[in-house]
Amino acid sequence: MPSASQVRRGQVSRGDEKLGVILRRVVQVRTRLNRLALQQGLFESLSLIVGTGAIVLLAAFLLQPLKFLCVAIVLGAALMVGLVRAIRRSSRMRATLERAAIIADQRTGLKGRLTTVVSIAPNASGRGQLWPYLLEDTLSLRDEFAPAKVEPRRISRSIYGLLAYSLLAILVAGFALMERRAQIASKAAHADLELDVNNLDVRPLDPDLGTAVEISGDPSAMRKLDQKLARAGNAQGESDSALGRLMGRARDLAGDIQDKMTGHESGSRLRLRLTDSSGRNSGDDAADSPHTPPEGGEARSDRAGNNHAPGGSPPSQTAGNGSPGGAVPNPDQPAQDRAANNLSDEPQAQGEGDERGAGGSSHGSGSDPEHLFGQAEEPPLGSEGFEIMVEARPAERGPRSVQSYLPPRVRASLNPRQLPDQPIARSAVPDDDRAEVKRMFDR
Amino acid sequence: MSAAAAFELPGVADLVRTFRRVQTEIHKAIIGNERAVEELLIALFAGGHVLIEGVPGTGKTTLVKAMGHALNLSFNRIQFTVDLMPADITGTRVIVSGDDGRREFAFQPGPVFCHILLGDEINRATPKTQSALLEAMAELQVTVGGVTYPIRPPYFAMATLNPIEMEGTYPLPEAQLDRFMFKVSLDYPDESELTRIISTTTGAESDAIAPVFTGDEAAARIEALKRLVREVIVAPAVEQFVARLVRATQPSSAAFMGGRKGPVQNDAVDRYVAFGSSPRGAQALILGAKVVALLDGRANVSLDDVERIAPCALTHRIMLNYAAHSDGIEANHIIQGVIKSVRAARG
Repeated sequence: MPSASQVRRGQVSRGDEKLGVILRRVVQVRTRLNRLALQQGLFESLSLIVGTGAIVLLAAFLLQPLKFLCVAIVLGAALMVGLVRAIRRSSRMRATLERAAIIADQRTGLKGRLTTVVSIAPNASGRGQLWPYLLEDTLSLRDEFAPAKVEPRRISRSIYGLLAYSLLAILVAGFALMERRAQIASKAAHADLELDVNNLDVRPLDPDLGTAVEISGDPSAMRKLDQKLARAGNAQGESDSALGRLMGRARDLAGDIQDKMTGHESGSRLRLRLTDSSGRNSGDDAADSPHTPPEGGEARSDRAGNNHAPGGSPPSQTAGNGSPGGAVPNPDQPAQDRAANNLSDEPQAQGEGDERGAGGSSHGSGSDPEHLFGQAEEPPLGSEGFEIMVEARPAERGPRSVQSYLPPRVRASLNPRQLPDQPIARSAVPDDDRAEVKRMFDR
Repeated sequence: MSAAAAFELPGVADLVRTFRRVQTEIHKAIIGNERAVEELLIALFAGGHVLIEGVPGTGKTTLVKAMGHALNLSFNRIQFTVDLMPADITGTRVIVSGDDGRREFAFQPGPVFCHILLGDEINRATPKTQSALLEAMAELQVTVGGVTYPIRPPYFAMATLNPIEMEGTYPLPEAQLDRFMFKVSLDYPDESELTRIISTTTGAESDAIAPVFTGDEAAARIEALKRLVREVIVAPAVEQFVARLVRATQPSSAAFMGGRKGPVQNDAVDRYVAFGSSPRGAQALILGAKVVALLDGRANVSLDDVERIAPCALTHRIMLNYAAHSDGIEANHIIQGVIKSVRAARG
């Protein structure tokens, strides 16, 4: 017959077994909860990254550099804050054994049984006379706190957010792909330009517009270009503030990033070959190696080209007055363009006559009365291939309801039985009807 | 969803059975007011005393008498009046003749020496007389003439208050109020209950209340059940919840808090409460919740048990200020708000 101490030891070991079963189940609940917390943190972080990336990519295509830079900075900051919050939320969701017990109690209506068992278990002295009863009672309800019953979900709901953001990213990626294809197509349409450096006019332009130009040319032409840009740069340096320079750098940085994201970098660059027609250089040693002008020059040149579009530059810009900016090639414009430009170029021509005199062929033409009459000049060689990029937007548009209606073309065969037109034979009109017929004709 | 216990310990089952039987017997005399009767019995098994409040004729005295009969314990009733003296309650030393003819002082126990004491309309006696009950309620002893006389447990004091007749009354001091574990309100009966009251009390015969215990075992059984109640396990999280709850009843401006604000603040408490619950309130909450847990077949206290007990355990411990009286705010509203705040802070 077992002694009292043996019986007590047996009861204690059975109690420990029951406690072990309960605790193991609570551990399973905790594991499940923590897995969900981890998933939530991961999915939320990924959602934020994917969503922000998609919006930034979209902004790279749609916005101008400075706006893009602002949007990217704001979104980047928001992403950082969002990531920190998502990680914190996820870590707060992490469950200890006690927390898992509390959650299981709340979700299964165990009324604090698990919380009590888990919190009292390490403290043997806190167990009273009713401890075995509590264990037995809790164990008898073990099906109630099965992990699948406490937390039926295996995958966090935050995956829906990730899917939504992924969908958005796919749409943006599709849009980006279409845009790139369009750029590749337009790249083929860009022809290389050749321009006399003497005809290059430097003027300030909206720096946000247009894309860069890759300039090459013989050494003397490039030297002249450098001189022009240096002069323009000095003039600009006097008038530019530190804020302006900072803005310029920010713009360049944003433009570079945008180019990398959108693939504009080499796709849509114009290749401009400069020549020097002043005769000092015959071109035998003209280096074909691409040359990058001083900082800002590249963009300015290109922007000049773009803004040469009709209505693109106001007269004050065209006047130049030593103000830096872009270079305007204008040797062989159509007569009306030249006329329009020269109206605003007259004061400039006086100020920069020494440089312009060498080119000569384009100066004073158009509305200059002296050139209206006289012998026709031969256009300079190489001008046939010159193209002006025109960026045109509809300025005004009437309401849709007012737009003219174009009827569809309908091709219908004639009726084969139709008789040729013949005068209708005069016939007698009854007296009663005469008044009516007369009234109809009078009307 | 509530998970029912599938395992029964003999002591737990005995308490539940006894509780229900006493409840049934009391309801032979008291129609309706089930919650009040249950709270009364919870206080009995938790080892506390009860203040019963109700308008005249709602069965306050009948309830206490029915309880005494059902438990088969010694029962005394004191009608508190303005001229009642402390010695009328505690007892006094009187001159008695011995067998040998010698005369000597002997202690004549007062009505306080019993198991169940009913102090009817306690607020009609002077504070001095009211205070005569303090020692008996708190320490189960009475000191007369420098000699301390113990009271045999179980000792259960119930006092009734009439809330509408305030003239010539002496409101109970806070110290005395705090010694009552619960304050139970007897509501006016509704129409159907009133009909049943009429039919059962005006007939030729009425149901006799049968004692649940025999006279010899009553005291011992009740004491054993009270010890079992003390064995109920309370998780630290529940103790912390109770501590927060009681602290949250104190306004943050209370001078005796020493400027230490609790983790839970409630605007209504700051605005309407002059003094909150004492630590005795926390003890009452835990002990009452233990009985509720056992009645539910559990050996552990849950937060729901505490919330079930909170209104009757804290109502009389919260002293409202004039703003509350003028705005018609009751202590019960404050307690519900505090429970909500503490629950929210717990997460």
